[in-house]
Amino acid sequence: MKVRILQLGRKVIDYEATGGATLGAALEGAGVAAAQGMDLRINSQPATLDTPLNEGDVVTVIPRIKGGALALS
Amino acid sequence: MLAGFGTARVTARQEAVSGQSLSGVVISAVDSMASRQAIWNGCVRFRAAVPLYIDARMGAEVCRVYTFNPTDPDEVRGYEATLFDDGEAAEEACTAQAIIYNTFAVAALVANQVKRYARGEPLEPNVLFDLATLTLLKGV
Repeated sequence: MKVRILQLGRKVIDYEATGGATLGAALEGAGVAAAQGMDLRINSQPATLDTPLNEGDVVTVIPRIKGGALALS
Repeated sequence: MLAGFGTARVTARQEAVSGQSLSGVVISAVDSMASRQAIWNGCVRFRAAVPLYIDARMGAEVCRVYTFNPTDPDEVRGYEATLFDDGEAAEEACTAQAIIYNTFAVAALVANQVKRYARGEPLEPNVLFDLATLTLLKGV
């Protein structure tokens, strides 16, 4: 099944997930690190790595941003 | 810019925030969650003289703006759920010199909310705009 992953601050990924895949499995398969400091949504609703995906879902990976500050390095 | 387009005057004051009595529209555009929480708890939360609070945050190319009445218990509860410790924030890539334009984007989102308030138009309480993916989300 096809899902779209919006990795905010990075890129958009159209990903072919296996049937019954969870959000965590799809992110891992797409090479998206859902590390600390990220909020997850499926079709704008809060989700966890264990949430199952459905055909056509839009996953949004939202960084928790605090700034702010410019890092000039 | 204001001088060129209107009659409004701006007086910049550089001073630490430590519980001053703020009034009017308050816009928070600071560098850390610790500073943001200090302003919120010390000067804005349930202050009747502040009818509108705008909290602007950015990180790399992601901009986020919260807009609400800080005397409304429901809105206060919702906003406080968005506060977190600095250690929980995402570590953004250090390429800010190349993406300084994001400051203009977040400024535009803030100015839009002020304009809506001034004109009595509906406010948008939670706007998320990402320049990297050109995504605009509301209410997430």
